[in-house]
Amino acid sequence: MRSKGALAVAAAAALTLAACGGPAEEEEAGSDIEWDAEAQQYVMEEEIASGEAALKVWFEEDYLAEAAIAAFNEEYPDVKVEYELVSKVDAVDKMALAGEAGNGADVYMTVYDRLATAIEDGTAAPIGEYQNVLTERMSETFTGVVSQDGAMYAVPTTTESIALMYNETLLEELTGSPEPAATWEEIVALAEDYNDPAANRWTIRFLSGEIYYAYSVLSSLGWEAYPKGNVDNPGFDEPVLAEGLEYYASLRDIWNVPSADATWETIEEAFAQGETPYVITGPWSFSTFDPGAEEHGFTYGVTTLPAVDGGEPAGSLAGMNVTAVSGYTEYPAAARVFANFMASDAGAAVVYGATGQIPALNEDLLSGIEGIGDDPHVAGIVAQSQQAHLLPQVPQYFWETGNTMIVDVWDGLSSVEDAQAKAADGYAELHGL
Amino acid sequence: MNHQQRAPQRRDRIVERQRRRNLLATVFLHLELAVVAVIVVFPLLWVVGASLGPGGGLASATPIPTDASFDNYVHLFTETDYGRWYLNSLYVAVLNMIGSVLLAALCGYVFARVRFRGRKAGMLSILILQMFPTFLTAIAVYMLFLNFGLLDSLTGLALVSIAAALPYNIWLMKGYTDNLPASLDEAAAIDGAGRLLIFRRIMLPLMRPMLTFVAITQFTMPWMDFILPRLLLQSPDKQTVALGLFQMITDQYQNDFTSFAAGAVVLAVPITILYIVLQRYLVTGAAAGAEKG
Amino acid sequence: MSTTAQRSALSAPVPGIASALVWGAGQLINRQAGKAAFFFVFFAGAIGWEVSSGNYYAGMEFTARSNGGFFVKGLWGLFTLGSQPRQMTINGLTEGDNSIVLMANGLIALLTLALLAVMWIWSIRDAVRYRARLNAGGERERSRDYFRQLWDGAFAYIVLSPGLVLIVFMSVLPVLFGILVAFTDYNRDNLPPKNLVNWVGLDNFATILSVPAWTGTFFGVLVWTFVWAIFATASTYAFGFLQAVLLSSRRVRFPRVWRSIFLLPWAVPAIVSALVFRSMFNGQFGPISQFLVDIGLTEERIYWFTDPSMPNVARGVALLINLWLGFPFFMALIGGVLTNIPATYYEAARIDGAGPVHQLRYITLPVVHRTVAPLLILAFVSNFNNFGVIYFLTEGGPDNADYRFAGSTDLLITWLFKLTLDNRLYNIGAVMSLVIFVIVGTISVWNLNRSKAIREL
Repeated sequence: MRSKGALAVAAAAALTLAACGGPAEEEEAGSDIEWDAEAQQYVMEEEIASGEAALKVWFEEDYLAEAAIAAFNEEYPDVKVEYELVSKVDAVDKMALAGEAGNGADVYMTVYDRLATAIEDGTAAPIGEYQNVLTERMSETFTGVVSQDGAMYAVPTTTESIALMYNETLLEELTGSPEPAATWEEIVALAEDYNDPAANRWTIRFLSGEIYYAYSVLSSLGWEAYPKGNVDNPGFDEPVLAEGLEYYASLRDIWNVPSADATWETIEEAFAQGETPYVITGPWSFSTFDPGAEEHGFTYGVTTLPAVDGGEPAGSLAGMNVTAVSGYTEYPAAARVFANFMASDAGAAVVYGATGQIPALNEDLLSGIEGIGDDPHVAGIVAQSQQAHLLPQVPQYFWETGNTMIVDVWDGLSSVEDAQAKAADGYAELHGL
Repeated sequence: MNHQQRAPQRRDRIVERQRRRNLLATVFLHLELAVVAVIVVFPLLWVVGASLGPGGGLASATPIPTDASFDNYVHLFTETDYGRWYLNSLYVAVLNMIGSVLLAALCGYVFARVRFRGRKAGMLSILILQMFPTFLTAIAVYMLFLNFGLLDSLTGLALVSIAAALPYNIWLMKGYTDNLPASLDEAAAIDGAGRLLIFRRIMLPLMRPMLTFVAITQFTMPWMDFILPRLLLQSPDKQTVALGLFQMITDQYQNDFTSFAAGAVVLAVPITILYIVLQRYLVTGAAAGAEKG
Repeated sequence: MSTTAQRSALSAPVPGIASALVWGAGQLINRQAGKAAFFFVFFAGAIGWEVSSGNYYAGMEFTARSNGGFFVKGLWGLFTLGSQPRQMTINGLTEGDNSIVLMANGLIALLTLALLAVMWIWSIRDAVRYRARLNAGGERERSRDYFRQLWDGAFAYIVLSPGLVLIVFMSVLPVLFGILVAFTDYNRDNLPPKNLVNWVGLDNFATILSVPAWTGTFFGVLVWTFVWAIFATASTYAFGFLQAVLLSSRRVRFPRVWRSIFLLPWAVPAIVSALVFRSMFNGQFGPISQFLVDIGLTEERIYWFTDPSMPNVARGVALLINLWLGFPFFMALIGGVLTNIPATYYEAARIDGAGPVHQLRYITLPVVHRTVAPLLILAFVSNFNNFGVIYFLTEGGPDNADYRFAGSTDLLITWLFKLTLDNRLYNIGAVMSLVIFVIVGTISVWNLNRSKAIREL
């Protein structure tokens, strides 16, 4: 009697629970989002436009997040935007999990070289009609890096390139002119007098063990990474690279420091203290150099990277931070509006104001941003960016194999031929897996 | 007479030699301690020096900066959310400490004193589990927490820490308890005391030095852990000290090693205080505890 | 026709089968309502979870993919890794399966089922045994008495269960997940959510063997990893032991002050210290090599971490810094163990005329060793897989021209991460971590078997 009762209870419980389940709501393959051709923007979803639901964005820096959202709200006062802190490097991997969990952001910032993965795994959605808007506002180098098969998958937001920075005050003292060197030969000539290795006095400092930095020398002597824009072949075995590497190794004479000891702290700080005439670094160093220059009483300039005498202008590899729309977003239109905002005039001004990073816009648009037009340092970076090379979606191991090759040559671990062969083999092994 | 006089003399000499040897040993002992102390403190001066230094860099840091100031500390507490991060980390650390001590004490006691089937297999398997390189742990833990609603939660983070150190702590407590005299708890068992009572009244006081050690290690652990928190936490108000501080040195544009060093100094304070306070329990003789118990 | 007669006619397996179908039903047949309720709670919980997380409704066409709940869909996902690939549209990803999520959820479901299976078997066995006891003319037992008795009989299991659950989900789950990935094609060419991952059997093992260039690096790095793990463990233990013993001496003035000073390397985050050490030992710009030149001890600067021609200098310095970082832990640990040695041991030894060295050798060392030996194995393992120190100190350098993706101080784990995680070769990385596990596990177990702590278990 009792047992029957209990079983009945169990059955009833199971049925009650079953009743709660109900059929799965088949999600409607909703119609495509609507493009307002006149306003040149997507029409935001009703819930977002009215502030009923909030748009979620991932930023790495809280100060940028707050500034960007405030500026966005000036234009769209009814839209609610929330932010969470996720680093740019982690964002793509995290989205693959958080998106699935329903915790992902609608829009996130990441670094351009992580975008290849995001396109491959579907965490970055194409930006749609905004492509036409953006191609008019920025160079093809930038839009090309975030594109695959003709579709753009992220909004290039900031750009950075290394450039030659020089201490005008110190150069005037040494050479009688504050003008920077245009070729490596001029720097070598100055180094003959100025260098004093025992006292750690160097004419030029740079991160010598990275292909990102060595590329300017290599490209000046005619080498180009991925000559055919084809990911299969980075061009490590080209004969023209051998010439470049030989020349690069000869620069060890004027910067005779093991590659791993030349850390970026030592490079930045020596320049900030006014002891080094030249450094090769990027706009991120301004925040160290500006107070240093003030304190130690010097002025500095930024210009294009030195070329090899008789060679081509030195190229560099552009880096970018990009804003992507999550493939998981429930508000594809509003998310795209926000992503595009990051490259609008107002958005670019905020990005520059909050972080000091250079918006990835055409030069004429940049000059409209307060503070940027009359900043000669930014102009130097922009000038070098014009000579930046466009790389296809570079796999991570390009940097690893390339850096090893540069270190092997710089530290004299192996001959140029052996270093090239090792890099080509290492790349092929990982590429072929 | 002669004989009687010489004896005390010789004894004096022996005592004198002994005294001198003792003195020499004491001097050498303190010399060793002093040398080690210098080696220990010297690099730390660099950290403190960097935290007081003006610039933003590591390379120009010195133990005694020329224009020392507390600017970096002020910056830390006024311009960043350091206070918030600190409280979050403190919460994780305290929870981790309490949970670990409780579990380690109970499990260590059971493994050392109770004979049951699967005991050896259990001890061995938690040991072997530790040998697997934690590859892709993050994804598995993320999905686990998603299922149990622990994502973006500091409590969840503490659970991970407790679990991660549990095998080590079990082995530690088990080994320590093995060495405790069995006569006390056996006598209590004969008197009819239940297991929990024996554990609480007799074993726990005896285990105190090692539990103190577990408490200190577990309190220390979460402060600088950043691999899992980076994945599991995302709300701005759930950030921990490690996440906030790492942001300072990984962000190229705002690189700020000096504030990072200041943050590190500030978080070394509670750990050191805890150790100084708990040191008494860590080195008080277990025998004394046994007499009281 | 008395009920007693009826009951005794019931053979023992009947309640067992009942409990196997509906947990607790057998207990109910046995007239033990309390027990029945206890088991039924678990049963109802599991069924409730499955039903509420799935899509069960009347008249459904049941498929595990669309109707299954936590358990059914979980297991389905674990076996198939999904069947519906997703596409990218302007509105975002279409509906479909994420293989890796399915795999993780499947494992979680499987482990939960394994824990529940313990309850299931228990309920069946209990129903059968109790009925058998009744049939043999045994006494009736009230549920309350049973649970009281259980507390004594299964005290160990009950007390250990929270720890067990924690370890199953936080340690076993990630390890199983890591192992399973070794048998899939989860890598940069097959990243979810847009792509489905498949089971590929032993293909990845074959792939690794097809790149002979890695073998040389593997063995070179392996040897150094062993040297590192052994020396790092031995040095921190020996030095921590020495300091603990010295500090326990009655001769020491202000022992608490000394102890607190020696603890500092532990209180300051190791990463900060490692970064500072790296800066101090910078060969070109660091203060240490400059100092040695200034006082005339060396002619040239010493490139501690960066001279490829003397990798052993870098390795030695890394070990010394690790000693600095690691000895306070053992000092505090052994300090605690020392208090556990009754003073009477030493008194007895002194009366027998044993000097301090003898006392150390025959009393202190054995007692400490007995507690600490298994922990040394764990320390060895964690040093073997020590990611942090090397990564922040040397980044693996100085470079080694003969290695692929590794420098002279790279450990297996840092090499593994550089090679596979950075390049998203997750399946290859999982295979390698299996290999590392087999190596470390074999050696540790072999060592453990020789240690007293295990033989006495």
